[in-house]
Amino acid sequence: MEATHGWATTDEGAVAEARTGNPEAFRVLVERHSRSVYRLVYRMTQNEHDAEDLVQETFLKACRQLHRFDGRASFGTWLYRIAANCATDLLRARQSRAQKQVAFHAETEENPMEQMPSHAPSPERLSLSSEIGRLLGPAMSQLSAQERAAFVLRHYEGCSIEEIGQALKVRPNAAKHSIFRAVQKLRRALEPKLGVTAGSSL
Amino acid sequence: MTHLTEDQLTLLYYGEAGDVEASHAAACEPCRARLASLAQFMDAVRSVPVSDPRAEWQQRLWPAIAPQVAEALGRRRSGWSRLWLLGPGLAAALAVVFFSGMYLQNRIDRSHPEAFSPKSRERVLLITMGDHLDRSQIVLAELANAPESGKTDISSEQQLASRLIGENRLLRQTAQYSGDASDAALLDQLERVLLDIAHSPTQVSSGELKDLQDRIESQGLLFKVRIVGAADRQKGLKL
Ligand SMILES: [Zn+2]
Repeated sequence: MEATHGWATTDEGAVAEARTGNPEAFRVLVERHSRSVYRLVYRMTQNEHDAEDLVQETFLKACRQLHRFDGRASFGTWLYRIAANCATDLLRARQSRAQKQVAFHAETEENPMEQMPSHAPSPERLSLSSEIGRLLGPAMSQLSAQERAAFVLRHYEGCSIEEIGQALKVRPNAAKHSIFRAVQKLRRALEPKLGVTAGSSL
Repeated sequence: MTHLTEDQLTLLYYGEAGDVEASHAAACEPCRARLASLAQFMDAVRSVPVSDPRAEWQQRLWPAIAPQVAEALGRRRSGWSRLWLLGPGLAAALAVVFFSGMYLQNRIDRSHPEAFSPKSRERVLLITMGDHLDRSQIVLAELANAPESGKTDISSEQQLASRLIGENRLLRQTAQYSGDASDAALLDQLERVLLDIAHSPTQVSSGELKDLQDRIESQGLLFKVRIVGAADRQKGLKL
């Protein structure tokens, strides 16, 4: 149905139409981008319920800030920035709550990775990727909110370090180091369980 | 010779390393092997699929947000377009009202009673006041409803607030001059908040945004501006 409107063919057209107050134009943008936004926030939170809430929050924020979209980045990139920041805020809030609890139960705290089965099935029987799929969630939970955001934007969305710095409102160097720490943590957490040599001890 | 660090290998993997790292990796067998092992791991992490969102959630998404989207887009459209169109005309009308009241009341009213009759002046004043409050209300509501995030860019609200300050001052003086104490008090309260908005940094932190929002909500300012604005315009149009 939206194909009958000229403005619906490009994101820029739909944004311009939405700015005149037409919600149908914004609906086109939601339908076009909701799944990729969902993938992004799912990768950051590793949780279906959080991801669903964050997609909703992202689009509401985007429509309230639509007048601030200046077209320098594509609409999709702009949307990803909002989504990454929404997810970062959620993770930060949750991590600071968790830290308070951890501080309280400091003696009984256990490393979440140690609660995972350490007898990983042999790599011959399971492909590396399906095995990682099972272990990635717990491994990601060891990353800080900013590390997760920077890593997901770099690794899955192909954003440059420069773009990630802009998106997360940090200097490129800080974005770069967040990615480094994310890669280090993920390798330390996952490679021993996968029977892969880290190959980084040189 | 110093081998590449894991971080340098990571940059190489992402194609963001410099020439030095690239030529080292090209020449050094151990580093190439480490890069290959990193790449194998990273590619495997990338290949982990995310299952599609639940179909029923996808169907519910738009109906769930549509009312808020329509409200946000509609408010901005009616608000902004009126704002840009009426701005200059209102200021001119206001200046006429103000100066006619201040300086010309006795002289012109006697020679041209129909031109600046008290009734027509009151009508222009009420409509001007109604529109001024309506436009102020839009700026205040924008900020009051701004979602909280690390930094919020309020530059567009600031530009509008700056434009409204001059008009507000004239209206306040007019209200004081004509002895309308309640309008004068409301405009005085509004002027202080408009000044706060105009003088805030362009990018406000969530704490600064919260302060502004508290000032906007304090003593029911937003509510009063909305109610008095609508009432004044109604009265003005009936005169
Ligand atoms: Zn080397």
